[in-house]
Amino acid sequence: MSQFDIGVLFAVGTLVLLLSGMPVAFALGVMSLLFIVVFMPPMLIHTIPETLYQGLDNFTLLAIPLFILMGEAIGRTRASVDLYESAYRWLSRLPGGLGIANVVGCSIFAAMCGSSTATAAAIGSMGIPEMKKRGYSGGLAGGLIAAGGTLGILIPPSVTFILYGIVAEQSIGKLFIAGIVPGILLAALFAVWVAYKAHRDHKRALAGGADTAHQRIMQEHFTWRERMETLPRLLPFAIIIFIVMVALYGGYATPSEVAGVGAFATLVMVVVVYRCYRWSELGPILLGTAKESCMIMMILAMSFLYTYVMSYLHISQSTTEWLVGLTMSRWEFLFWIDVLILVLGFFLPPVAIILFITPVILPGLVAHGFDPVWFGVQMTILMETGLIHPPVGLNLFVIQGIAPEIPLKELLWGVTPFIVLIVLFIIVIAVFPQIVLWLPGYM
Amino acid sequence: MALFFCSEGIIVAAMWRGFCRGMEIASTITGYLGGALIAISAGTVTYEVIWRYYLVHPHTWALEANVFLLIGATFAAASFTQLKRGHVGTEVLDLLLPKHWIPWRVLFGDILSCVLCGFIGVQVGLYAIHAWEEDWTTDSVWAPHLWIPHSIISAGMLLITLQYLVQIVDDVRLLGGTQEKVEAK
Repeated sequence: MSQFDIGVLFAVGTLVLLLSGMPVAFALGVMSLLFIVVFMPPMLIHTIPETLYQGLDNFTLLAIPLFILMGEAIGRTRASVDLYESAYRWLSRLPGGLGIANVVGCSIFAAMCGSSTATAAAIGSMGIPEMKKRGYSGGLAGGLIAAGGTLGILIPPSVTFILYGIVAEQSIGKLFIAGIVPGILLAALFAVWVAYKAHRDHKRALAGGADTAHQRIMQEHFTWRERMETLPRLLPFAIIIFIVMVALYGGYATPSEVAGVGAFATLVMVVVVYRCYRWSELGPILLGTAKESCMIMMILAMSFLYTYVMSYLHISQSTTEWLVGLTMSRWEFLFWIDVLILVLGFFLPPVAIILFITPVILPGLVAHGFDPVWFGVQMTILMETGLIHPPVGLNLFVIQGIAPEIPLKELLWGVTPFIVLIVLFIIVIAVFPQIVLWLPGYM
Repeated sequence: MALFFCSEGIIVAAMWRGFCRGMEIASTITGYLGGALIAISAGTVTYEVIWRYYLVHPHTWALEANVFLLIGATFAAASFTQLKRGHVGTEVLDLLLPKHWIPWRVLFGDILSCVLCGFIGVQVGLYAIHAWEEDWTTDSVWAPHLWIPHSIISAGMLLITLQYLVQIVDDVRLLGGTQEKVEAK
């Protein structure tokens, strides 16, 4: 069998196993094991333990479970309620203020945890019932939270950036910084859309004969005193974000150390400030953290075996050579890579996409003059769409879990404008890469 | 005779139920353990940062201890994550397959995963025994024993194999039920 045939068999076999519903981690593991047995010297089976251990023997990886712990600690306590309530009181005067408060809540939560589903679950469990109570359509409320949740992997810290940094051998600190401006701009775009949509729906409701009670429900106002009294409750979040930002961007600690300090500070906050010291409160935080981080780390562990096999059989090298040798313009090349990521995003979670294709496509992108940091951010934004469209759409599942009364069709219509906004934003950062690169340029 | 087989069947069923319950308890305990190891890791990292930057006194053990904690957390929680079906997969095929094929698809995936986890569990276990016998350590100054992380990986993979075994039996039962329904139709 030629090298090309082995490569095709490997890729097709992996896709078939992945689409068969097997856990991503074990699908990668089974393919690796199968190819070691069939196409590699039998003695190499004994290198499996060493390959697994050497892959995991990386202090940088520790950032993933620690940032997840941070998110779980905030998301499963009253801390997230306070965050949400404060954002709402301060933004209630704006048109669509409640919707904007949800976007801001998602952004702040994203700044403390690196997971999209955690962000959508934490803010959505309060935001969706509140928005529906105040006259927002189920589609807009669910769509907004699903899309807002995706900011979790763009606004640093981000699990996606950590994985990309490890696989692409790029500075994770630089990737984090590069995600700040696009994250804020995308959040602003979401906020503008939700303000416009909520305002339009409100006007239509009034024109359709809705009474003053509707008006009152839609626009709840708070006094300055009511707003001010939320500030002390925001203080612990401000302190944690401050500690994380100063430690990371001031160069005092590595991303993993920052994650450790942030997670520890968050645990202290929920125990001391929110009095969550009972086992019934701490237990779910520990279990949630263990489950989420184990899922990602197992995929990562098996991907080490997978890349080892790819490298041994020269599959990755041959594919890279083929990609680099393609005669097409840089924009054409980027377009097809983006189409590939988008299509993979229909079926695979971001973690798998990064581990699956980054080692193969990155040399080609670099050869075409694209900055790896810029591409990491662009790829992350593109993968956000995969989180909010079927069939995988992890955030859609989260929303359906929180608000099962919102029909899937309505939810899909609700997220569609956000998908359009994300795609438009990708075009903007492709034309103006400085949006992504100017802040890391100061590092 | 019939009474003997009947009572034997009841004993086997009771033992199996006990095993399933035992697995559920073991997986939940190791799930808590995984979360606790991550929390401990947060504490040790913070301790190390303070010690190194403010007291200018780095420790030789901190990096490796945290890597061991990470490995421990990942593999300790593996079977709990499987208990909750938390290892993410892509069920696109379910949209295309006829409904009565889906339990077969689940069974196929579970058997493959079970074999893989069992194989890796045994392989890494043998490696851990070898590392124990040869007294292998890491290359660092602290030089902890290599059998520690490998035995954790092995134990985690073997526990997830047992968890898969429980779920495979459930799959087969479900399949039996589905087949009966299809035949009844």
